Amino acid sequence: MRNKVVCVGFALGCLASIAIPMPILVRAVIALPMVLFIPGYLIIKIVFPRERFGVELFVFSVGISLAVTVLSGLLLHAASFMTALGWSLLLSGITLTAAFFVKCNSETPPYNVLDLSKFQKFMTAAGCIIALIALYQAREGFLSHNEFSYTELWVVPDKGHDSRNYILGFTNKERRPTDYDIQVYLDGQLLASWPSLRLVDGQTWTERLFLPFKSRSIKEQRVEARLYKTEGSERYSQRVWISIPAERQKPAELTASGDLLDHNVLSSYQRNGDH
Amino acid sequence: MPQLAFLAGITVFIASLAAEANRQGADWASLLFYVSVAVFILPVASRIVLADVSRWERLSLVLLAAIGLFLIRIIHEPAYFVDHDAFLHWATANDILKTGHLFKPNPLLPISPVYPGLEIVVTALTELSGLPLFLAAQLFMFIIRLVFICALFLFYEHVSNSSRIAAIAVLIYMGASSFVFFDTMFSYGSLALVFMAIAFLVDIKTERTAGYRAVIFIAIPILAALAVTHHLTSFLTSLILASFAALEIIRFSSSRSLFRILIIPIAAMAFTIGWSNLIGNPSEAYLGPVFGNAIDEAMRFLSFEGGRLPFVAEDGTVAPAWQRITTMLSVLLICIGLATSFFRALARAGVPVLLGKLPRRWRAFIEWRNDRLVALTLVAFAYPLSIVLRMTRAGWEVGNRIGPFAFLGVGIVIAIGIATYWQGDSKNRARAALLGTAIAVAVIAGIFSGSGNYILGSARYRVSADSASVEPMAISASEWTRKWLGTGHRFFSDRTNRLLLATYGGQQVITTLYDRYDLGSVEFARKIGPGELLAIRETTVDYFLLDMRLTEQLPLMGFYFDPGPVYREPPDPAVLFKFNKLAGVSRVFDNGYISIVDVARFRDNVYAQ
Repeated sequence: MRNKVVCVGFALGCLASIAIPMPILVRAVIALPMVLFIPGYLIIKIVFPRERFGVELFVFSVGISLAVTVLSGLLLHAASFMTALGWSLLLSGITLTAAFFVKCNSETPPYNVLDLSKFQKFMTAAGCIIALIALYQAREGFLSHNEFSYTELWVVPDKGHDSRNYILGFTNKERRPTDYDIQVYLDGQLLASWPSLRLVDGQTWTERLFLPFKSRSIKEQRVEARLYKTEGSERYSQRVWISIPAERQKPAELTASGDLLDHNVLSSYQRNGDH
Repeated sequence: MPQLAFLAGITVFIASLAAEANRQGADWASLLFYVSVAVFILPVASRIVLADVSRWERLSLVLLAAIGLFLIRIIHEPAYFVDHDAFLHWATANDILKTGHLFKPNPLLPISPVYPGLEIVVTALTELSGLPLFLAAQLFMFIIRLVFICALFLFYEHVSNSSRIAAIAVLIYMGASSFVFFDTMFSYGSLALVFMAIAFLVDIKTERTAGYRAVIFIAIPILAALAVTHHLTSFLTSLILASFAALEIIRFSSSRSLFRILIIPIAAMAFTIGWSNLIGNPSEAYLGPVFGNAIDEAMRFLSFEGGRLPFVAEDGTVAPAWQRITTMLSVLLICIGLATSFFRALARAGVPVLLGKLPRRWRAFIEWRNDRLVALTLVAFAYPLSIVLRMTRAGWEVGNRIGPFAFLGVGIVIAIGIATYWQGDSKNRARAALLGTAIAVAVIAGIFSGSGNYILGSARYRVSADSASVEPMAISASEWTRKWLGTGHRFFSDRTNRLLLATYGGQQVITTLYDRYDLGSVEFARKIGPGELLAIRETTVDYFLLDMRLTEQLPLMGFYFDPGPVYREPPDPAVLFKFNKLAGVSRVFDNGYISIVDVARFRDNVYAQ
C-alpha cells in the first residue's frame, strides 16, 4: 500500500512540476524515477502480484519503464505533443492507471541485502565521497585546460539592415589583457581605424560598419579588416574580409592557380601556432 | 566489500590525478592510471573467484567494479561530450528538443533519427527534469549500466545455475574492448545492450511462468523498444534468441510447446524486421558497406595480403611496450581460458563431450539439458573473429562492435573453466590472486584496446583523433557561428569540426554519408576548378570551416573527413589558402588557426568559372 501511494505521489509530483516552478534538483528527483522505474514497477506489480520484489523484478521494472518511455515517445511524436507537458501527462497517466489496477495486498517484504557494520558503512561512504571529490577535481582540471590562446575576429552582415551594414568584432581569448589596433580597408584604401584598444580576457569589442559597396561594379570589391595585436615586442595580425564579386569577371582572375599562397596569412598562422 | 568500495574511491581519485598529470604532459600518467585500475580490479576478482562468497556479495562486487569503471569513464568526459559517437546522438537529441518531433534528418549519422530509442528517453528526462542534456545523459548511462550488470548477472546465474560462475562471467565480460568506454557512451548501442540483456532474462522468465503474462507485459514492450533503439543489437538479439529456441527444438526433449518456444524469438524478429521496413530499411545501406569492407579486408589479412599493423595508429604513433605486452597477454590468457573451458562448458550444458564419457549413440550428442549454455558456448567463437577483424583497417570498428556479443560467450565459458578447473573448490588465496590478476589483465587490455592512448584525453590537440581533437577553441568557433550567423547554414568541415558545428553551432553540416558528395576533395584541392565549383553548387554549401591545424599532422583515425583517401603526409597549407583570392568568397571569421569562409556569393555568381 505504502509503495503504491509513493508511486501515485510521484505521478502527481510530475504533473505539479510542470505547473509550479520547482528547483531543478526537485524536478530531477521526480523525473528520474518517473522515466526509469515507476511505470515499470507498477506494471510488474500487476503481472506478478505475489512475487517477492528482488533484483530480477527491479531489472524488469527498469526495462519496462524504459520501453514504456520509448514507445510513449513514438506516440507523443504522432500527436505532436513531445513537450514537457506531453511527457508529464502521459507518464503520469500511465502510472495512475497502473496504480489503479495494483492490488493493495500485493506487496511483499524485500530481500535482506547486505548487513553492514558501522565501520563498513563508514568505509563505503568514504569511498563514495572520495570518488565524488575525484570527479569534481577531474571536471575542474578538464575545464581549465586550454591549449590555445587566441583572438576571434569577425565581420558579418548586420541582419535587418541595408545589405551594406556589417558588424565588425573581436573577442580576446588570449587569457590575458591584450592591446589591439584594428584597421578597415576598402580595395586597399584605409576606411576606418581604431587604435590602442585594450581588452581583458573574454571581452568582446564590436562596431557597426557601413561599407560603401557599389551596387554594380565591373571589378571585385573587397573590404578587409586587419587586427594587430601586440605581445611584448611582437606584433601579430589577423584578417577577415568581405568580397563582392564583379558583375562580370573572367574565370582566370578567380583562380590564380600559380600563386594561391597568401604569405601574410601563413605567417600570421605560424606565429599563432607558436603559442 | 566496504573496504573494496573505499579502494574504488581511491582508484577513481588516482585516475583523476593521472588525467591531470596527462594534461600537463606527464609520460607516466597513463601507466599510473592503468596501475590504479589493476589495483582496484585485482582484489575484486580475487574475491569473486573464491567458492565461499555469498550471492549478494558477488553481485555487490560486480556492481562495485562496474561503478568504479564507469566513474573512470566520467573522468575521461567530465564536463561535456568529447567522444565522436556521443556527438552524433546529441545532434539527434537536440533536434528532438528543438522541434518536438522525431525523425529529423541528421547528416552526421542519418540512421540515428530512425532509431531514436535512446534520444527519446534522454530528452524525456531533460524535458521533465530541466537538467542539461549532458548531465541527464550521464546520469542515465550510469543507471542503465547498473541495470545491465544486474541483468547480465541474473542471466548468467540462470544459465549456469551458479552465482559464482555468473559473477566471474560478468567480470570477464568487462574485458570486452567496448565495455568501459564505447558501451557507456551516449550512443544508441549502449541502451540497446541493456534491452538485450533484459530480453534474455525475460526469455528465461517466460519459461518459468505459466500463461503469457511475462510475454505480453514484459517481453513485447522490451523487444519493441529494442527494435526502435538499435539495428544491429536488435538483429543479433533476435538471432541469439532464435538460436536458444533452435537448440531447444533440436534436442527433442523439451517439455514446452513449439509455440511457447518460438514466441519470443518470433516477436523479436518481427519487431526488428517490421521497424526496419517501416523506416525504409536504412540499415542495409549503412551497415552493408561497413561489413562488406570489413570482410574483404579480413580475407586479405588471412591471406597475408595486408592488414593493419597492431598497436600502430594511422598517424604512425606506436603504443608503449607495456601496453602491447598487456594486450598480447590478455589475448593469450583468453585463448587459454577458452581452450581449457570450451568442452567443460559444453559438458556442463549436458553435451557428452568429455573423454571417457562419450556416448555410443549419436542421438546422445543432441540430448543436452541447457540450450542457452550450448548457444553461449558457441557464441564464444565470435571472439577469434573479432580479433581478426581488429587487425584490419576497415574491420577494426566491426571487430570492436562484435566484442559485446562475443564476450557473452567468452565470459561464461571461461567462468565455468575457472569455477570447475582453475580454482575449483580450492580455498587457496594465492591461486585466487593469480586468477584475479589474469582477469585484471583482461579488463585493462579491454580498456586499452577500446580506447587506445587517449583514455585520459590528450595534453595537446591531435588531428582527427576524436576525443583528443575536441577542445575549447574549436567549440568556441562553432558557438560563434550560432551566435553571429544563426543556425541551419550549410557548412562543410573536417571530421571533428563538423561534429561541433552540428551540435554547438546548430548548423546543417554536409557529409558524404548524407549528401553523397565528398567536399573534402574540394577543401584539399590545389585550386577551385570546374569540378570543385560543381560540387560547391550541387551541395549548396554556404561556408567552409577551415582548420589550419589539419596541415600539421596526419590524422590519427586515418582520414581527415570520411574514410577514403590514405594520406602519407599532411596537406600543404597552401590548399586552404586557395579561397583567399576568389572573388565572392569572404572570410567572415578568423582566430589564427580556424577560419570560416562564406562561399555563397561565389557559388551563386553565374560568372564564376
